[in-house]
Amino acid sequence: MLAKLAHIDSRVIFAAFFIVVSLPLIFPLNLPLNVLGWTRQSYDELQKLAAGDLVIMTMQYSPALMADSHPTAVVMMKHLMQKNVRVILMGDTPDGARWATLFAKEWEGKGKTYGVDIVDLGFLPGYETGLAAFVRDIPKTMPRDARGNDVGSLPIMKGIKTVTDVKLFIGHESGSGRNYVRQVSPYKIPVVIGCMTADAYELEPFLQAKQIQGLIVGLRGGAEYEKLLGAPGAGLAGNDSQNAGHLLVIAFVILGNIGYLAERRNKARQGGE
Amino acid sequence: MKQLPLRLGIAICGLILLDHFLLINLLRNLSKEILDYAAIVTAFAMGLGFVSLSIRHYKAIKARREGWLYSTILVMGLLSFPVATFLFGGLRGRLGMWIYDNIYGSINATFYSIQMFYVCSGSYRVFRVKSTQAVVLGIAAMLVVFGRTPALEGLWAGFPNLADWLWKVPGGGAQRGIVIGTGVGTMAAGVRYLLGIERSSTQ
Repeated sequence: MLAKLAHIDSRVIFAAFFIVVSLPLIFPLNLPLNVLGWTRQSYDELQKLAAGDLVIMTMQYSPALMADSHPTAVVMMKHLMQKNVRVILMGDTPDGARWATLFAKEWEGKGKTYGVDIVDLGFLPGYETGLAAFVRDIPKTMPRDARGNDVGSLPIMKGIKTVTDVKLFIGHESGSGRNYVRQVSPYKIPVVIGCMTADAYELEPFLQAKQIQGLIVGLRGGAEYEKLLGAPGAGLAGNDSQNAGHLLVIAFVILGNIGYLAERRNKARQGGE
Repeated sequence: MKQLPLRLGIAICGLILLDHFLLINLLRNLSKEILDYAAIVTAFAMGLGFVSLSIRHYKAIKARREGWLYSTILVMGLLSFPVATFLFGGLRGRLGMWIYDNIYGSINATFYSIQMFYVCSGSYRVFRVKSTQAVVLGIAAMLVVFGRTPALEGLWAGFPNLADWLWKVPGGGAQRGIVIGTGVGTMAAGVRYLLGIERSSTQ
């Protein structure tokens, strides 16, 4: 009987996963959430900024990673705007540029002045090489913003030459977070990376080595940041669902092993008879 | 003539490398220009990719090769976005953005989400206590999940610390090894290019 647990049909697992992950989205459980050290470090880094300081925030993630990465970007943008920090938005992938446009539009609608408080530089082509060129000479690499304005004519870009002219660099990566470590960190400005959960292992050593000053990991990181800022959003809403998914994975792993051991015992018995 | 791309590559790589170690203004300016060109070339490569993909699949449709129907869908998808973008409202036009948000975005997110179902099913099938290594891997993985799942963190105060230790010490150590190994490998590959030993790109 127990041996059957070793061979649960995939469709049963899929159905269980769908139900378990969906239900908390409909009926929130408001599970407790501890804030991990790296999220607090990132939050503190943004807290150090004063009104009027200039920050670059770039995005890489595509809509595929929206659930994991977008809550972090949204809450960080909110934090920056609340502190009246000026933000240069851009995307170092074509998909990332879309978020920059949406953020600029959203905050413009909430009373921020385009070109003074925020600017959308659009898509930076060239991936890591493009980023290397950008940090050395911002106006030359991106002479026009996403709306076609000459960046030199925008008050927010006055006096900006290299990446050292900003107080903080924030990158929301989707697999190429090391680009920021390699190309921005050598300029000795604080770098905070919002990463997808799967990349945390890859980037954490750079946090330990102080090559980056903050790391916010996936949906959970976004939820922790929302908790720190006191601004519940998609992160905290998704946290319950993610929790439920983790619990189901653990349950299936345990069930699978019970089934496997029972099956082994049955085989040993049959062999002994 | 065949050697020209290789020599050009060696010269450019050498210049960028020298700029990294020497603080000479001329080198700095030259390297800055090259990096700018690299960004332009990458943007151009996207256009080239678009053209070559269209031609390849157009040929497949014309010759009714196996899977030509998929090629038709691909070409239609490939053309619909630029056509909608340039004919209706320009780069920031409503139709183009609608296609991006409601078709591309939805498909993109759906495909990624489907993976999660396989992660769940895969974990169930893979984490079996079949050998000592599998037991160690399974326990380590479960401890990290226990320490990173807020609903379980409260069961025992030590779970988050244990997960943190596993993450930072054995995990971090292995990751550093990989990073350093990759770095040394990249350097070796770079030296091969610089010395002209690596010729696969020109052959």
